[in-house]
Amino acid sequence: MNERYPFSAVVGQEQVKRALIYNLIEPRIGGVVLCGEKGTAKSTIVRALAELTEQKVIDLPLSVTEDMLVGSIDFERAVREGVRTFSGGLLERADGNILYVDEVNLLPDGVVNTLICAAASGRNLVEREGISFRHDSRFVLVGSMNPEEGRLRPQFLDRFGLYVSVAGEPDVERRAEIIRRRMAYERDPAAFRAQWEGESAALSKRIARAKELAAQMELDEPVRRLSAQYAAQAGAEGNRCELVLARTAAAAAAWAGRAHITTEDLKEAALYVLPHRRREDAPPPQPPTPPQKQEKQDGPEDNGSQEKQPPQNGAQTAKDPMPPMKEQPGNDGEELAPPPPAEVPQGPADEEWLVEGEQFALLSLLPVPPRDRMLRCGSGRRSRTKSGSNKGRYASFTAYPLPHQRDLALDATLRAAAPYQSVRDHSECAVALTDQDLRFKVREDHTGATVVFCVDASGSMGAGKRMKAAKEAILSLLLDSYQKRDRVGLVAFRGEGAKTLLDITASVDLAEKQLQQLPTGGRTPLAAGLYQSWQLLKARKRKDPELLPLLVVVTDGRANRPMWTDDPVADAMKAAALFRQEKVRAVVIDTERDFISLHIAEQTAQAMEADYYKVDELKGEQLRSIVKGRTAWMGQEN
Amino acid sequence: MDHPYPFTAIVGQEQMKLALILNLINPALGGVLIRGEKGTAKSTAVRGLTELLEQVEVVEGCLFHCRPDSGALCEECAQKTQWKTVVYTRRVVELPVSSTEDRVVGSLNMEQAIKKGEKVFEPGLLARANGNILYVDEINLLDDHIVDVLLDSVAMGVNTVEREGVSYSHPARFVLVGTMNPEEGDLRPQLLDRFGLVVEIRGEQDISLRSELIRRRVDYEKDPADFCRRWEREQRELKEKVRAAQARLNAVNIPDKLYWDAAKVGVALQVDGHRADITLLKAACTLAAFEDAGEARRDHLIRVAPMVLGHRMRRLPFDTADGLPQDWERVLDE
Repeated sequence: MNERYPFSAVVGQEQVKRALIYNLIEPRIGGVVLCGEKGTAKSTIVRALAELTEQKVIDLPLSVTEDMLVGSIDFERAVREGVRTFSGGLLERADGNILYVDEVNLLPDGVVNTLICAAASGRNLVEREGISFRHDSRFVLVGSMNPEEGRLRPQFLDRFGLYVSVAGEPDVERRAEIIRRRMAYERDPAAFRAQWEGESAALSKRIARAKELAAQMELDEPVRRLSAQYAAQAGAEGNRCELVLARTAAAAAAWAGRAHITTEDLKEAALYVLPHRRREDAPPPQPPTPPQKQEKQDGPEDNGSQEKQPPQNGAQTAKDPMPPMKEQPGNDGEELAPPPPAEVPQGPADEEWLVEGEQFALLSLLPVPPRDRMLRCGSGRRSRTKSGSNKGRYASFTAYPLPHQRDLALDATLRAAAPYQSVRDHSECAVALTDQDLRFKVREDHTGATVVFCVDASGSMGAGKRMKAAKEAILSLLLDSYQKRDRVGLVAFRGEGAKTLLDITASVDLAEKQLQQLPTGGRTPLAAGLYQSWQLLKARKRKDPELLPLLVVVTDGRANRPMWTDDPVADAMKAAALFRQEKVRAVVIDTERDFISLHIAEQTAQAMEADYYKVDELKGEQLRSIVKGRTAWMGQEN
Repeated sequence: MDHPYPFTAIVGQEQMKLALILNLINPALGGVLIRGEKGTAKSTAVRGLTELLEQVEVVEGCLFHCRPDSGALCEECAQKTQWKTVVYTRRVVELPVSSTEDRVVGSLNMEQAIKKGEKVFEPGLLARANGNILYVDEINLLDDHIVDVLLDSVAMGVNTVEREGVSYSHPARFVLVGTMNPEEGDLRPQLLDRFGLVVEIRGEQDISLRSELIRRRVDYEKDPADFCRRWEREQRELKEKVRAAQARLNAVNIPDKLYWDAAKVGVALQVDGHRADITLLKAACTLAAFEDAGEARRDHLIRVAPMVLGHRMRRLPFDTADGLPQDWERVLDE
């Protein structure tokens, strides 16, 4: 904790560095979120910021409890002196500093809400445990995340002023340099730091100077107008976007040693400000061409003295609506030459994350178990429930526990008791507790679903690429299960009966392997397949009553092998009814594509009260519209 | 257990043993994940490390057994100008899958709070793990929020506690060793990437090895003390070899070409980020130190490559092929 890798020794990652530096210059930009693959020095760079400013980097650990974030009653003083005083939390310490959340996408919702409020208002209001307190909490919020692990809520995302997509360095030589420096650092950190001290000092000096410049800078009319136009073009919602744009441009200008903002500054700012605010259907934001016609009329001073601008800007600056650069502040333009414009962050990773991929979309067809009042346990990401067991994250506390709950929240109990200590009878303990003081932990847990796939492998599925379509659909669903940490099972039916190919397991890989090897042929014992799935789920449910079961049936519905009677269809309906009785959520994916449809799959879905989709619906444009509604709903639930 | 099964008496499983030894020599390698079927001596090997760990000088009375010579001191130790040290034997600290968060990260000391009305931090498993080996058996079954906590401290080498009324942070640098049976589900990619090395193991197939394995196990169970005594010499020799390698580690020469090689592998295999490249070179150096080679060479690099890269290949969750090249020389020379 005492030693840090020097900021300037980080090879490459210019965008990340720049975005962070702009926030140091102009803290009102509102922070940065760094989004990218693992092992790309995201946190190394953030932690190294501390050496460049007086601001501290305060870590927000994922295990934070809410009272520690907002602050609470000062327990020690309350016991000793019998006074109720406020003891600040992380938000107080973060005031004027940098608040850093690594793996920000894994942060629990409650904490996110508090953060959003504080970041929005710049202050922290505490109304809890008998205290009422407010204090300033202006911080630069920096988050880093790996999108593989999940996404951020849009509202939270919007709170971050800037967005940078981080990727590894592709060039071999530079990669070699990265390894070389890292090895040198690990072998002798002190010597390595000494070697970079000069650079770091120069950098912090430059930042300090830019800070002064930025403080005097005005966001005049043309800048405001152009910012608004960029924001509108990107389809950004709300008005925060243009403000952040203008401020970032100001920081960029100050960093380049200028006292006024040019179009280039705004363009560079757009690279950081627009990506996460762009609406899906809006055109890509880079490079946002300045709307010239109107601007020309408004830019009266457009009299072309652009000699001092870097050559690569030549083309655009001819139409530059910004006030030209008449006065170069101080004549140190050489030394603080504006750095070349950063590269356009249009990598595939970025795209994938901003526009919901097809893969993600399909999955949301799964009925998401809404947040429920039943107590459940288990780890997974499908939904978050209050946990009745001792497992899960300690989220908050309650004075009214459930009958079996004996999970004492000591901290909350003590805080509850503290104010009354002066009037209570003490024997040998400093703190006298009574029954009324007792508080119990409320834990939160993610509950993964248990998904059983019931797949038709009969001969009729082999026709017309039905099986191929079915496998694709299941694969997408499996991918979703992987991210949500569900458990999965696989039942296939064909010929004489049904077979459990995979007992319920958390290994989604295994399910996929089984699926790939699945042969087709024979008759269609739909009833047997359903019944087998039913037994599988039921056996599991007996072991774990809190399980969230889900059945996915993939079939063309051409049931022609009965189970109990002579009528294959009636038997299937009978088996389907079992699921309805037990209120098991189900989805039926119908692979029947023929002109003459028998609608048996549809009937089965009705018998189960399941959601019903045709496999063809799960593709293309139609899918998107279904999905959009679903994901919106999902967002609310989660 | 007074007499754990000796590490050196484990039959076969050379990759696994090498991976563990490399991490003993160089704790900065980032730990080992051992993936394999049941009954392949995974846990035996990890627990057997206890006997190979060295004694170190630590600050007396420090809850986190800070080593004065390390760059990571807890707040209290950092404030001291001089230290009194005691001898401390490094150990294997186990994190059971059923651990609760407060036991892992630490919590409020109940006794102090009630008796004296003071807020005192009660250290958890991560505090105990500082400077040691943290072992998680069945790591793939660990609860999600515990994994998050682990990720936090593995990444920083610091455990930051902001919960239950205590705000505290202390160094938590440990070698993370996990074992798992992949049939039960996989690890999250983020956690997987934190492991420096990953080895896949299977039961030994060779009949003579298998029979030797049974013989030793039966011997051991008959009289563990006696069995351990018979392996004492091997144990001591390995321990000394590890010690010597540690001393040499920083002196291992790294030819310029090797940096280039490591970088090239990273590019050719399209791994995420740079952690793989760096670990690859570190592991090669450590192997060179272990074999007293004086200089890290390409063959060292190639030998550790499967352990470093196997789990880092960019692939979809369902890609089954490990995609590692057969001919490393060719990759490097291209």
